Amino acid sequence: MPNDRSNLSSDEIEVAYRTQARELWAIFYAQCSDPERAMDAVQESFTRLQDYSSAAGSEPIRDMRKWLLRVGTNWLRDCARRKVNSVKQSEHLDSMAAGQETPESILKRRELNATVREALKSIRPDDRTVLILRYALNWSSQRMGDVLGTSPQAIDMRLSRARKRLAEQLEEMWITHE
Amino acid sequence: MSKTGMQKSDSDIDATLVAFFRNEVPAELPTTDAGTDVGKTVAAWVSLQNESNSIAERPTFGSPDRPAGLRAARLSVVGGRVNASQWSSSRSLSCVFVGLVTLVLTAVMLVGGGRTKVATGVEVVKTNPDVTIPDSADVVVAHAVETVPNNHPQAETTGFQFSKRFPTEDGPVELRFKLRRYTIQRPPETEIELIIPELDIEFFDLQAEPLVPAPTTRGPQE
Repeated sequence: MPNDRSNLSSDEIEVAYRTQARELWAIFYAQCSDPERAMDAVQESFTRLQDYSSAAGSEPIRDMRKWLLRVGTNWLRDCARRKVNSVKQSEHLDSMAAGQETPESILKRRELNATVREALKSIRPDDRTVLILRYALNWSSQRMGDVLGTSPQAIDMRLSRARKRLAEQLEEMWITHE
Repeated sequence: MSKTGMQKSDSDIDATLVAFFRNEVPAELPTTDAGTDVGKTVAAWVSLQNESNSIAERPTFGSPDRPAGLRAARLSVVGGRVNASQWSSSRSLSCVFVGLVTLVLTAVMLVGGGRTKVATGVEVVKTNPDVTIPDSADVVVAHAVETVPNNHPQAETTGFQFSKRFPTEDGPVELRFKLRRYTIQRPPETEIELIIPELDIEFFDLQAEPLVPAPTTRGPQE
């Protein structure tokens, strides 16, 4: 989103958030494999955008998306260096309190999710990218192809291979675990 | 998908990933597809405005179903004793404080019995387990003003916390609120109220249940 002004209105920033936050989250998630940390990075980048935009004498932001990406990525890097812990959501406690799930099923689901998260971290970044674009953003093969500069057919092929490699990774992890 | 060690099919992995990302993607993230989350956001916001009858602000960053830009935490405590072991916090608020913001917390305690609506994304911890809300109390209304410094050191890592003591006939009841990811943008020194909807807090019957101390892990209480 090209923008040569330094002072962005709250409405402009809000529109940017609504249109870009999800994708930014996916990109940050691909970098850190931590949903909370990725969300923090999104929030941090938009907060800093707000601060920067309202500061007197700021340089114009020519590409808001790149700016947000850079800020969030740098923030993630800083976090990794400082080993900052994110606040963890506690919806599993809510589920328990509300009696929606048994503790056993919650633990089982959390264990499965943790395994999938680890498997995603261990596969190739290219594979991880297509899987996140498809499953976190629900992007079509056409849209992914447009963004990644390839055909929908090639995307389908990449997705299939990525799923296969993820399955192999999960198999390996579960066999090792058991 | 079971953990049998057998080779999983493409559709197995597909189902696993769908379920995985359903949990993984934060619910507060907006979608760019018109008519889905955007519509819900607007509906939730309008509904809340009507309900509170005093809200005139728009939701801010990341607040599709629980507008974080709301201005009052209305704590309705219905009966019984506040017991942290009986409930848990819901998802975190999405807010970012810029500048010096003053929170005005309005708490309304209604004695009656049953469940309590409090706040999304707020942990409430009763720090004085010996204090009870007396049956004779009708409505206890308490106001607290908290000052939130810009870039609070806890904001990044553990979330900002503030607490409120409620005077009751049996002594003060302290409730602790933990917020994170503020998206409220306000000029410095602006007074705001946080309305934090939809956190159910379970209360056990004052007479029937044993007292369980609040399971805090945050060190000595204030």
